[in-house]
Amino acid sequence: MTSFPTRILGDLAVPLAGLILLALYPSQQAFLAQIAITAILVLSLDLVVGFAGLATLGHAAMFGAGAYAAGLYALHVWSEPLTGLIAGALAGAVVAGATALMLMRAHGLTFLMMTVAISQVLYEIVSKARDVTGGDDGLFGFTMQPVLGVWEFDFFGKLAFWYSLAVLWIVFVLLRRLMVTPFGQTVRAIRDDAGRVGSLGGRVYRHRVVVYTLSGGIAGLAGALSAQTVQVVGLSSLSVTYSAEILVMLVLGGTGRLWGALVGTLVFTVIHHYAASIDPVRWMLFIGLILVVIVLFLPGGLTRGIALIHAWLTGRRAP
Amino acid sequence: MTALLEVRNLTKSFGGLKVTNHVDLTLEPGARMALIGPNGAGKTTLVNLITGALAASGGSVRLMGEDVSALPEPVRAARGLIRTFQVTRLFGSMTVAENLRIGAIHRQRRSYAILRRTAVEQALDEAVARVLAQLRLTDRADTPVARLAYGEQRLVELGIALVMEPRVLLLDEPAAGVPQSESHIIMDAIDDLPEDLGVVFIEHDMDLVFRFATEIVVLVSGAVICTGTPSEIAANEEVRRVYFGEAAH
Ligand SMILES: Nc1ncnc2c1ncn2[C@@H]1O[C@H](COP(=O)(O)OP(=O)(O)OP(=O)(O)O)[C@@H](O)[C@H]1O
Ligand SMILES: [Mg+2]
Repeated sequence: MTSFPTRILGDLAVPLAGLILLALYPSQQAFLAQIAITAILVLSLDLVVGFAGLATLGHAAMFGAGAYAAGLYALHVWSEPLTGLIAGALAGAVVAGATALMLMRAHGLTFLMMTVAISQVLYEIVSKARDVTGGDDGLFGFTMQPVLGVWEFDFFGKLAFWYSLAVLWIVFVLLRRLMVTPFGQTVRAIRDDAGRVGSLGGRVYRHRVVVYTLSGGIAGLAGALSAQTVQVVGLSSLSVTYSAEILVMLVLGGTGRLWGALVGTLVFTVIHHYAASIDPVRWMLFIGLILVVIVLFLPGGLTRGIALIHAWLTGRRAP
Repeated sequence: MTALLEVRNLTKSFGGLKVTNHVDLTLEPGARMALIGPNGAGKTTLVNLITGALAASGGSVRLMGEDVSALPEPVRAARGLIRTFQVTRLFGSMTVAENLRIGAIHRQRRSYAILRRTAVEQALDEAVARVLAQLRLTDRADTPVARLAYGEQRLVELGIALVMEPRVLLLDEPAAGVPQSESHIIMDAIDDLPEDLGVVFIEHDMDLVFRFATEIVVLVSGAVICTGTPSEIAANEEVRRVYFGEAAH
């Protein structure tokens, strides 16, 4: 059990990091909002990959579903943002829940291939339904009402930054809590040895469906935030390429420790930002090299590295 | 009184190989049944069939009078049919206390609890602390199981089962791999179990078998060749020939 001050500090880390980044890059708020939204998505991915131990290449399907749902909701129903977030989260959860009923019967490579297949089916559907989704052109033309009727969305992304940071904070704090509940511990136990949990009376399939649905809901929430702050939804939000990219972020930061999702997203996006402006063609090569080094020499990702350094400095053994 | 566990005509084939051959067993409350037999006799397979980890080819399993043959493994476990594994299966990323806690969570039906409620946490902590103390693992509570010696890992393996408060406990070589100096902790813990519980334990060490068993079942090539009290088994010609003859070389 971590001590009380450590826990509070952990809870405050997200707003602190947000403020520091804001001080460092005061004119880049739209970019910082993008990082926060991606971090929510990668956190939701960590729930599936890191905590449930299920490697997926289809996670963007839920993000995209949430983004399109929030866009359509704003366009046709109501352009109020908070209910839009709920619409996005529900869409993500429905896509995840419905597909989980099939997915969680599969294992290993079959599971991975099914996540790709489901993603591509959804991509095709959205791409063909031009009348509704805008197809290749994307979904646009919606504007958002002020958040809570007070804060207007602006061209510079000022509101987008605070809005996304607030949602990221809430998601992070809630997930940290969830991990130490009996449910969270059961999910981890299933990752370690599903058969053993079954021998204790645990229903592995049901827990996996629940955790996948929950994760889909959070991914959908991130999608909705993206739709509302950028006010365009593109097909790429649903793509397997994007799923792979967020998986790279997670592995970079370290799976199964929530922090990893935050660190990985930040490092990846910042490298992307700079490297792509220096060399827009070969920046992916650079990311690839870093990833190879991490996978070979630091399988727990950057946060594992930080934990090792911390343990070394304090003279304790790393957890 | 109905038997805790009644196995009738249980049969299992892997391809052409009959690994479990029309096995009958009856376990009464309070029984400490040793299941013995040479390597490959089908002891572990029998445990897997009883718990539902493997589907039987034929026969039935009754738990406290109820036919559970068609029920999946988790449902049988939830009704108090609990086993341990011959090769330790712990939750490798967790500490000793966390491992036991997974058992407690299932015993207390909290595996869907998404809130940390004080009363629930206390009940879980108490259950874990009780078993930790019983197995003399209290000062190991926060040690990751991956760092334990194998003998201590065997204790945790048993602890996970104990925290489940089983009605029927199936132990697959609980003391295997445990140094002699520590095997008594395991056998003492088994001895301390509530009276009315039924225990089946697979064991190769004949000292432990004759010390703790109230009943011995001898399994050879998937079939029960003999059942009886320790003294009956010790005197049985066939057992001496088939089992002890083989084990002695
Ligand atoms: N999944 C399986 N597929 C095919 N054959 C199997 C399988 N599991 C076990 N067997 C075979 O069934 C027989 C019984 O195995 P089992 O593990 O039940 O024996 P055991 O009595 O527990 O032996 P030991 O004392 O070595 O633990 C062996 O011949 C084994 O090779
Ligand atoms: Mg065996």
